[in-house]
Order: sequence, then C-alpha cells, then structure tokens
Amino acid sequence: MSESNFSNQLELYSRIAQGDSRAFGEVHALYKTRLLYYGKHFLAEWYEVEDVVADAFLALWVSREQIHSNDHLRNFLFITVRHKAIDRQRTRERQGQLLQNLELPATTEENKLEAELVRVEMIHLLSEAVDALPAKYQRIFELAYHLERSPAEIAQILQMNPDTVRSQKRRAIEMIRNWIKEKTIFILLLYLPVFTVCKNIFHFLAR
Amino acid sequence: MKFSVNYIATLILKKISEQLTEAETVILEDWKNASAANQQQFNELLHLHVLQQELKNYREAQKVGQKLAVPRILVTDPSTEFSTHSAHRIHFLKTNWFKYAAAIIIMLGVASYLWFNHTTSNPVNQNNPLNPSSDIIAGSNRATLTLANGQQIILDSTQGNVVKQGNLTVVNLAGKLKYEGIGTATEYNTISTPKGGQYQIVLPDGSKVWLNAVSSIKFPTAFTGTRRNVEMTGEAYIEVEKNPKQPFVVTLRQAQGNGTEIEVLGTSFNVNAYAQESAVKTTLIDGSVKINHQVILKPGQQAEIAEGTDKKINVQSVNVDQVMAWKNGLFNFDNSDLRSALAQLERWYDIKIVYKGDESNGVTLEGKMYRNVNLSNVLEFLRKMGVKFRMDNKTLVVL
Repeated sequence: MSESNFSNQLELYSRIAQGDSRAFGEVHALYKTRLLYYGKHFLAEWYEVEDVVADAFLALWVSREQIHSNDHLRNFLFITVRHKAIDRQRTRERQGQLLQNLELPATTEENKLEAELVRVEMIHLLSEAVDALPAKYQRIFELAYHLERSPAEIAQILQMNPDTVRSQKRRAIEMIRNWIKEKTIFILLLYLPVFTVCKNIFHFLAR
Repeated sequence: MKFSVNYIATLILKKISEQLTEAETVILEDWKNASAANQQQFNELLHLHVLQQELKNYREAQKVGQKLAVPRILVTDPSTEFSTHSAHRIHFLKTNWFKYAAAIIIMLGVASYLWFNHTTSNPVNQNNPLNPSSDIIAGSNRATLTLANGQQIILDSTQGNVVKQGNLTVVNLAGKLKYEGIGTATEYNTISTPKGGQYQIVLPDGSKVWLNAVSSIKFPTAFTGTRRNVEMTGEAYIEVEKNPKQPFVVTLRQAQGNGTEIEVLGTSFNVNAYAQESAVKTTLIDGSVKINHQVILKPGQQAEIAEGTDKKINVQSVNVDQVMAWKNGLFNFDNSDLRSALAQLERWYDIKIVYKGDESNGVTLEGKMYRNVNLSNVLEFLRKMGVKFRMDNKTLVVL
C-alpha cells in the first residue's frame, strides 16, 4: 500500500459494490499478504491458508453489493478468513488428523477481531518501514533482526568493519523511527473518523 | 471516541520506538483497557522476539502472496454463464484477462471434480464439437509410493496415514504426502507420478516438492551425512528448507540429464528434465543454486544443458510465470513451440501424439488456460491457433 494508492482506496469499496472487476484485482493486491499472514495464525500449512484467502475474496465478490465502506470491506475479508480457517480446524479435529502441531490461537472468540487487526496492521506497517530503508540498511536490518546475526557475523557476511555495522544498524533503527513518526501524522489525518473532523471544524468555525 | 485500527497500530509502533506523546499515551491506554483481548495483544506486541517472529511470518506471507493469482470472478451472472455457455469455457488469460467473463478457478476445480466423478453416468460436454461422448478429462492428484522393500502404495485424494515406522509417519492429505518425524533407518522411498498425475510431497527435512506428470523423486526417509541427496526424473518444483550445514543436492537420472547435479543451499527452483525435451532446464525462482559445480544461477535465470556429451550449460533469463505455470495449475503456451506444448498435453491427458505431415509446422502458440479443463477445450484452443489435427481415440494426429 503506497501513498499513491490512497486516493483510489477511498472509493474502492464502492467500485467493488458496483461489480468493477478491476477494483477486485486492486483489493486482492492490497490485502492478500495481510490476509495470508493473518490466516497463518490459524492454519499450519500455507496451501490451506491460500485456499481460505481465495475463498474469502470470492465471498467478498458474491456479497459485494452489501459492502458499505472501506473498513467494512477489510473487516469482511478478515472475518471471512477467520471463520473459514476455524471451520477447517474443526473439520480436521473431527477427523482426528494432524493435530499435534496445530495449536489453536489463544484468542478465538469473535470480539477479538479488532485486537488482531491491530496486530496485522502494525506488522504490515513495520514491514513497510523496513522496505522503505535504503538497500544497504535493509540488508543489515534483515540480517540483524530476521536472521538474528550479531554485528560481528554481519560484518563478516558483508565484509565490513563491525563498528560500521553497529553504526549503520543504529542508523537503520533511526530511519525506521522517523518513518513511523511521519506515518502516524498521515494515518491520523486519513483515518480519523470523519464525524470528529467535521465536528472539530464546526467548533473551530463557531469560535 | 473510537480510533481506527490503523491509528492504534501506529501508536503501538510509536510506543515501541519510544516516541509516544502524552496525548497519544492516553489514547493507547484507553484502547488497551477497553478489552482483555486488546490488553493481551498490546502486551505481546511489546516484546522484541514477538515482533521479530511476526515480521518473519509476514515476510513468508509476502512470498506466498507473490505467487497467488487473483481468484477468477464472473462479471456476469454465474449460473447462466455456466449452464448455457459451456462452450465458452475456454480461458485465455491474456494480460488484461479481466475482460474475459469466465468462471472462477475454484468453480472449474469443482466442476472438473464433479465431472471426474460423474463421467460414467453423465455424459458431460454435450456441445463439445470434437468428441461429444468421450471427452478426455484432465490429470489429477495421483502417484505411487515405492518403499525400500519394494512395496507399492497407490496415492490419491483419500486421506490418512500411509506408513508408520517408529517415529516416522507418512501422511496422505488430499494430493499431498507429508513425512513427519524422523525415520530410524535411512531407507530410500520413491514417489512417481503416472501420465495425468501430479503430487505434492513434504520431505523429512521439511522441503517441499511438487511433482508434475510422469516424474519421480527418490529420497531417504532420514537425511544423514553431509549432503541431502535426492534423485529425480521428469519435472519438479522444489522449495528447499534452508540448512547451510547440509546442502540439498538434486541428481537427475534420465537420458540427457544423466548425472546433472544441482546443489542448493535454501531456495526454490524448477527442474524440467523430461526425456522428450531437447534439454534439461533448471530455473531458479529464489535463492541460489549451483549446477554441476560450475554455474551459479540468479533468480529468474534458467540453465539449459543441451543433449550431447559435452554437457555445455547455457544460462538465460526466462519468464518465470511460464516456467511455474504447471505448478499453479495452468498451461502457459506463450511463444512455445507446438511440440513442447503437445508434449505437455501428452503427459497431462495421457494421450499419444503422432506427427503426420507438416501443415502445422511453424505455428507459434499464444495464450494460457487452466490445466483442469477437459482435453476438448484445449484442442479447441489449438484449432483456433491454426493447428491442424484429428483425434483418433486417445491419439492426437497432427497433420
């Protein structure tokens, strides 16, 4: 989700509701990674998650006319993935197969969705922040946090001075922090409930 | 006041990076206290190792997502499209394929599954111009597992445990065979697909193998020693589980591919080593592989070892989508020559191809379609592309 998509995203739900198949492709590109990531919390195998995510998109298309906002669209997709994933787990349980390495997530009640969405969006943002790093910092960040290598090991892999690795790692963290800071302002403006904004403007004018 | 999920997400990120303002702290506290679920989620997300793990999972999801196509949707009403226009069920997914009103891939899957199960009682495809009564259905998930002692087990879409030896369990899950636990002794198992069969295997080390039709893979039930050695024939897509200490080595055992070695550290790649093809083609999707101790491929590159004794390796960049089409349930005939396209049909529909005459020489194909359609649909497509042929029982005679 890049900034340039935001203008489209605002009207995405209504384009979907009107049966615009191109908008369907956009929604797919926008949410597939987040839905896969979310679905993997419930299912052990990626191929199962892929199935569930595809089903959710098809369900969205079938019910497209009832979608009344972008948030509703997103919630619909996530709720559907959750339901279908849990359904699958239950079927599997009944068949008594492969349960040993399949832990039910601690939160399965319906009202957990919001908290789960916060996690999904947060990790999504974090990955965007890392992706926004210049290539060499990204490499160091991934080695340090993804592959859990020490500065000495990274120095060896990238044939750099360990001190340079340390300073570039700090710089990477600093850049991520700045990215987050700027993003917060942007998201606040974009996602603040419209009624509050209107109310604030009204109050301001009434002063 | 209720804040959006996205806003709360950024606040938690700010909290982690220690730049939360006082006003924001209040908002976040409110959110956290609103429910037990929020509280729990919040506490978890503050741990560095949780973040690390979740970011890893997200990256994996990104990788999976890259290979995920948009589910096919109907622009018109599904029920009418399906029942009245079954002759229109050919799908050419050109670049802007959205404009083709067509059925959902899953619907096709269900449809072909239903046909598969009802062919005997219910003659489908009544408006098929080519072969009204006996259309040939597409291949499906079928394979044979041969154990070290020579015992053979037929694998299909049924489910359940296939083999249990000590700590090792082999589970069959609708078209996918999974090795779980560690075998006590190093015994070699072979999985082979017939014509019209395909199968997915999860090896004892967690590496995943997709076998195309007329292919096989031989591997030990426990990987010991310094290398993870497997042997294969035909075509396979392999996602190797990373283990730098024990490289994964694929050895090809067939005609011109004989002895070719592909050494892998942790990666995904496709090998096409069919005896009928003129060359062994290894295409790297991700990571890095080394061929015959000489050539190292980059993602998107294909190494071709031509027929002959000198085993010369040519490297070129290729269209990865096309190479991966079979694994994603598609035929991709873009710019492919007729012979290699027909060789695919031969293996997938279990038919014979005979070349008579040269009318179809020089035909270059263009287009993609799903692999789970009946043969008649593919033939209709070939006819439109200008290929002249006739169908003689299960033999396709190219004129």
